[in-house]
Order: sequence, then C-alpha cells, then structure tokens
Amino acid sequence: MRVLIVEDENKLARNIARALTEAASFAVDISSDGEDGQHMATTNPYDLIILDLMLPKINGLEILQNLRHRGHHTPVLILTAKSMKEDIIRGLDLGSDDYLTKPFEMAELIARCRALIRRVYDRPNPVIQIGNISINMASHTVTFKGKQVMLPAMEYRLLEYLALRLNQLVSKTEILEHLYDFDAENFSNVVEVYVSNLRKKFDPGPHHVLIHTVRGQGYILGDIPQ
Amino acid sequence: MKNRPLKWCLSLLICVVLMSTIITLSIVAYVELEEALLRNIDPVLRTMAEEILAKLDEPGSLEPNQSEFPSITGWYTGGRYSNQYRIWMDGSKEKLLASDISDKRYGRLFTDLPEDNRPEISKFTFFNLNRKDYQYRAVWTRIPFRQGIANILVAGSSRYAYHEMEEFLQLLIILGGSLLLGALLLVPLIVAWGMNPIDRVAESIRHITYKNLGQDSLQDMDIPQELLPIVESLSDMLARLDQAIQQQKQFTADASHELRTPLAILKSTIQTTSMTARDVTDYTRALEDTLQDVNRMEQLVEQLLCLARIDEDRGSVKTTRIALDDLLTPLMESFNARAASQGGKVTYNPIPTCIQGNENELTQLFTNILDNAIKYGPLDGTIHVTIENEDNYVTVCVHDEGGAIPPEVLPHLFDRFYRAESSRSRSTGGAGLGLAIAREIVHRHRGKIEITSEPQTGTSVYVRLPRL
Repeated sequence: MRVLIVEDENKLARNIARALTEAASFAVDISSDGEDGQHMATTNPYDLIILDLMLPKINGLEILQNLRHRGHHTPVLILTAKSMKEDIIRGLDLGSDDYLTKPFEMAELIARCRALIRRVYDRPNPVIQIGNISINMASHTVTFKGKQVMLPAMEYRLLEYLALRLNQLVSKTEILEHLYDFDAENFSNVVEVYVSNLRKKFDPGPHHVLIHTVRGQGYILGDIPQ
Repeated sequence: MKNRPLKWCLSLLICVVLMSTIITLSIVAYVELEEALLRNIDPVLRTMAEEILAKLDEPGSLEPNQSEFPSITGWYTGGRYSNQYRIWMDGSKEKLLASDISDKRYGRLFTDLPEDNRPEISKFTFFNLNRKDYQYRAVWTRIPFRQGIANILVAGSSRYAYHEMEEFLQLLIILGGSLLLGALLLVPLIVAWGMNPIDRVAESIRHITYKNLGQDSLQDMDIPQELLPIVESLSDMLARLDQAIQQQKQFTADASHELRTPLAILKSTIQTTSMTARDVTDYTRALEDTLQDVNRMEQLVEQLLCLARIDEDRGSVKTTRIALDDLLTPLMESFNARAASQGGKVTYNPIPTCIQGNENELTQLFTNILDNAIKYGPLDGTIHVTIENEDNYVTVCVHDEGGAIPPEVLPHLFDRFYRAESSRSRSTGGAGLGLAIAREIVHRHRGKIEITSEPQTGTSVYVRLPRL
C-alpha cells in the first residue's frame, strides 16, 4: 500500500512515515508543501493521502478540492491542528474521507489508515482468508495451515496487496506503483523473486496454485483450479 | 441608574398640559361670559341714567310724590324694584331722591360707593356692587346741579347674569373634569402604544447572543426615525464587539494550532520510537527531537504569557528612568556573539539618551527585533543598530541585510501569528508573535514602530520612543 503524507512539519511527517512503514508495511512518500503535494497526489496512484490543512503555497482544502475535481478517488485523511468543527465539516464536505486532529495517537492514525484502505478495496473484514492462508491486516500476521508465518516486509506487502485484489489480474506496474515509495530503487525482476518466495512459503499442495502468472500481463492471487 | 418610567412621565406631562389648557380656557370663557352678560345690562342702565339727567331740571322732579324717576328705572316686582336709583349732592350723605329702599339693609350698597369708580363730570362709570346675595350692576354719573354737583346712580340687579354664570361654571367643571378623566385613562394607553417600537427593539436585542452577534439583526427592522440613532449606535457597537470576538477567536484558534503542532510532533516522536525496540542512536535522536519541540513550546508559551500580561494590565506599566545605553550595550554584546558564531556581526553606536520605561519590556522589545534581524538576515551579514536623538523622541534603528519583504506583507507583520512566508519562518522557528509583542510594548511606551524593506539595502525596523 502506498501512502502520501502532505505535511509541512518535516519531523512529524517523518515520524508518521516511519510508523506507517514499520507498523503497517506501507510505502510512504512525504511532501512538505502544498504545490509539491498536489503534484505528487495527481501523478502517482496512492492508496491513501494524509493531508495537513495549513500548508505553504497551496492550502490543504484547496488540494482536496482540486483532487476531487479532477476525479481522483484516492481516500484522503485530514490531519489538522484546527479542531474547529466548521473546518472538519468543510473538509468532509469537500470530499475527505476521515479526519484526525493534532495531537493524535499514532496507533489510531495507523488504524484509520488501514480502515480507509480496506474500504477502497471493499474489504470490510480485516482478515482475508484464501484457502489455508489467513491474512490479518490489523495485526499484520499471516497464518498458513494454522501456523503463523513470519514474512519479510516486502513479501508481506506484496501478499497483502494481492490479497486485497483477490481473484483480480494485477499487473507488474501496479505492484511496483503500490509497493514502492518514490525513493525506492525498484527493479521489476524483484517482484518475480518475491512471488516465487511466496509460492514456496505457501504451497497449497499439488493441483492447486496460489499465485497464477498471466504471461505478459501480471498475476492473480486466488484459489482458481487449473 | 435611576429608572423612571418614561411612559408615566410622558403621560403625566401630557395630562398636566391638558389640565392647564382646560383650566385656562375655562377661566377665559367664564370671564368673557361675565363681561358679555354684564355689558348687556350696561346700555339699559345708561339710558335710564341719561333719562334721569334729562328730567332732573324739571320742576318737581325731586319731589318724591311727583317724580317720574321710578317709572324710568323700571317696574315694581316681587316686593321691590328690579332697578334702583339714588341722587345726591357731592359732599352730602343725604339723598336728594332715591328709590324706595332702606339704607339700613342693602340700601347701604348705594351709599358706600367705592371711590375708585367716581366718574369725571358728565362721564359714566360702570361697576359691580356685590354683597352677600345681592348683586347689582351700577352706573354712576355726576353733573353740575344748582350750586354743586349732583351724583346719579342707577343700579340694576345682576342676579340673573350671575345665575347664568354659575350654571356655566358647573358646565365647565363637568365638561373639563370628564375631559381630564378621559385623558388620564387614554393618554397612558396612547403613550404605551407610541412606545411599542422601543419594546420591539428591546425584544430584538434580547435575541442577540454571542453566536448571532455578527448578523446585524437590527438592520432590517421597521424603526421610527427617533430611535434610529440609538439603534444605529447599537448596531455599530455590536459590529465592534463582533470584530473583537472574531479577533479573539482567531487568536485562540491560532494559539491552539501553534501549541498543538509541536505537541503532535512530540507525541508522534515518542510513540513512533517506542513502537519497537530501537538502538541507542535512534533513542538519542528521538530525545534530541523531543527537546527541540519542548523548547519550541516553551518559547511559544512564554510569548503567549507575555501577550496575555500586556493585554491584562494595559496602560498600567511600571516605568523607571532608563539610560538606553545601559540597556542596549549588554544586548548588543550577546547578539554580536550570536551573530559571530554564524559569521556575521552587530555594530552599534552608543549615544547617551534617557527614556522613561519598563526595563524588562524594553529588553524584550529589542531582543525580539534583533532576533528577527539575525534570523532573517544573511548568516554573514552585518546588523547595524543606530540611535538618533530628536527634540522629544529617540529613534532606534535596527537594520539587517535580509531580503526585501513584499510591500503587501509589511502592514501585517505586526499581526499576531502572522508569518510572512511559511518556508521563511518554519525552519527558523517562531510562531509570529515576536513583532506583535514588540508593537504592544512600543505602544505601551507611547512610541511608534515601523518597518521598511528594500531589495538593495535590506530591512530596517524603527522604534521611536519619547525621551526624557
């Protein structure tokens, strides 16, 4: 999952990014002013945008309005020090999906981010069950045949993304776009390595394939009989 | 405040005016009627007197038995003549001739005449002769007769006229009384009706609360012209109050924003760091970050408290005689050291000047200005501090070589929480209160503060204070 944080307090943005990366395995981009933030939000397929309101150059509500005006459906969580009800109502009415006022609980922010992303992929249940595999997006744990499997961050990220798009064709570009932040050096063959690792770790047995390769197009995660 | 009900005052006033009008009119009408009634009698009496005069020289005219005078003066009714006459010589109390009337009874009326009414020779005077229940209208004339002067008095009863007048008076009292009574009942009602708009305005004002203060609900009301000044000044006052409240609200919102932001950073740092076990470098970094934010909050709280203090005891500043040099020199030294640490310097030309002021506040004032000069000037720039004495004022100019401040921004620099540009100030910290505090302090010292900025020369802050 890839998240954009538009926040002019650099330290705060860094902290949130770190927390989201560590606790939710998100790929996080940071933008510290309105202009740059708006550009990034419109040019990359983010799964969530965390938006401050009082920003240099372009104010947060304006960015939100522009995004919605241009037809971007990306969920937006407003993170603001303004606690006035009018501001919150205005933000929600302009198309934001949720809000949190500063100072906030980091755990709450992470939970809200997860909830927003589940909503986008239409997965209200934080636990996704695929055959013998159970992915708990809240506790970030994966069990296979009743046993917990420890996954490296990137593998978990890939598995979670594919699971959210269960039974759908996911292109390699989409995977790269949603799993890596702006600064990461992403080589497309890395995805193949992760996919092969996941296949090894979750072997559903003969006659069953967990991750199907659609040549030249991408992957499908799902219990599709061969 | 003494609360006299205007309604009752007005009612009373109107009633008093009405009463005096009615009474005056009644008196005038009464007097006019009296005169009119009596004047009706006068020509008759005069004719009688003239006839008596004409007959006076005829022989036997003064003989009681032959005299024609009784037939001139009238008829005999109800036991006495309605008109009486009396003829006598000047200087004598004895009558020459008189109607048949006893001197001892009301006949005395005609002997003790008021001297004021004594007429000139051949002239007539008319007057009233009233005693108890006998009322007469009389004419008195004097003519030369034989060796002296004869007096002739003819009197006619004015009983009837007085009776008329009595009836008229009764009518006046009844009419006037009922008019007054009616007025007493109606006037308060009318006055109350007339005062309705006041109640309506009061009702509208009653609905004005803290929340709808700015809506100016008084503007669209149907208000009589007389109330307009009051309502207009009320509207103005409400607008001013609204503005003050909005400013206060804005200030509170800004203050809470400024306090929440470092708090949010602090909390996020602590929570993120404690999410998992970290190494020492991470913890050290988190502690450093935390300390930075705590310092930022501390500074902000200090500034807010300073503003609150200034707002609270506005005008009552404790001042002493201060030598400006003694105050500025140590400041300059410490700021010079700070500037030198980043490659710049502070120059200062001390001129002995004394001002009346509060030492703490003035130190705060120059600290804030110098702080800005160091923050916004180039790192290796020179800050020039100059003092100029005028007749009654001293001007301290702090000049830095910082970039130009856009002209449209200049007027806002002293606004609370105003920051020229976020990128310019966020990195250097500060919540935009330094200059606001500076302005408050300068105003408390009855001085002026100004900022000019030019791209070539830099930015100058002028502080003008009254000198001793």
